Amino acid sequence: MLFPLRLTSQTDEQLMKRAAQGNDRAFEELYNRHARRLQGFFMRRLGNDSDLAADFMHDTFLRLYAARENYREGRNFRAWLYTIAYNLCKNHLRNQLTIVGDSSAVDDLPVDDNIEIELDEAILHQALREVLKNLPEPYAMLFSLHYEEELSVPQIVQITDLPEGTVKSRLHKTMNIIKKELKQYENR
Amino acid sequence: MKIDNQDIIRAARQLRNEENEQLNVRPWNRHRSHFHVPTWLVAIPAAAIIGFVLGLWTQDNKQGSESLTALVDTVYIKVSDPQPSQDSVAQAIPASQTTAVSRPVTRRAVRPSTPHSHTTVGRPVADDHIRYDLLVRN
Repeated sequence: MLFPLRLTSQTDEQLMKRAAQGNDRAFEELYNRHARRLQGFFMRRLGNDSDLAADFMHDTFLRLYAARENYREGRNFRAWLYTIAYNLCKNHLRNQLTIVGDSSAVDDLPVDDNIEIELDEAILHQALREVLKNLPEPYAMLFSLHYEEELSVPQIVQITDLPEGTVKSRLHKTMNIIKKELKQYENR
Repeated sequence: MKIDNQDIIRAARQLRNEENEQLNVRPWNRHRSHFHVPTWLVAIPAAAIIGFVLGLWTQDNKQGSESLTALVDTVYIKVSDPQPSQDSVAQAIPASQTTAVSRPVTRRAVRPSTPHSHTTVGRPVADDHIRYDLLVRN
């Protein structure tokens, strides 16, 4: 095509299709759209190491670029991107002996469903920052994917390769763990 | 205030935005050469150059083929034809041809008084020994 359409007005999937056909500018547009957010995801998941997060983010896009010709039309781009990112995280954390996604023992933890918290908004932000930092895996990963990166449950199922029921119950449990932890900040 | 799930989600996204804003993101093209020329910017001048060269080439060919016809209007072919002896002419030319071409040549008819040593029969050869029947006109 002599005069290409504006890349900024295209969806991720349209851009990825063009990138698969060899359009590097389309790929760069995808990078510009998702790099910051992905780097933030790595930053939170890899213990606030900014250099490591930048390296992992770049590595994710390099892998995506290398595999761009394998892109199948109709496949959700963000799910694909976060599958690569999730696997990189998982491998890194496995080396550090941190369980990310395939622990069944954590599902047996008892969590109270009826926790009521009263906090000021300023305290909530500070407390939540601390709670999320100390949230155990695999809940932290699921919280990140679902609530921070705004991926749907089916997309998380695709990314993590976990059954849908497991994802849902763990997400529910994650919220209860967070509430339980936040409760401790009530009287401070 | 009472905190519910939505408050937690909203606060988590706000924290995410704050953290993401502070990140220093490397540009994608740092490790890649990114000089990109649009296709049309190459295709149009290339087509023009190819057209120009092709035009010059066809013009050259045309000049080469035109040169002969342009410069030469008439070609005369001179054939040196020694006067054949009457006997040999009689022998060489068959009877049927002799009758067919035995009429006087036009140039001879113009100048009937011109003395000639012998009668030319069968071949329209002029006095100046030029075969006007072989004259080629373009």
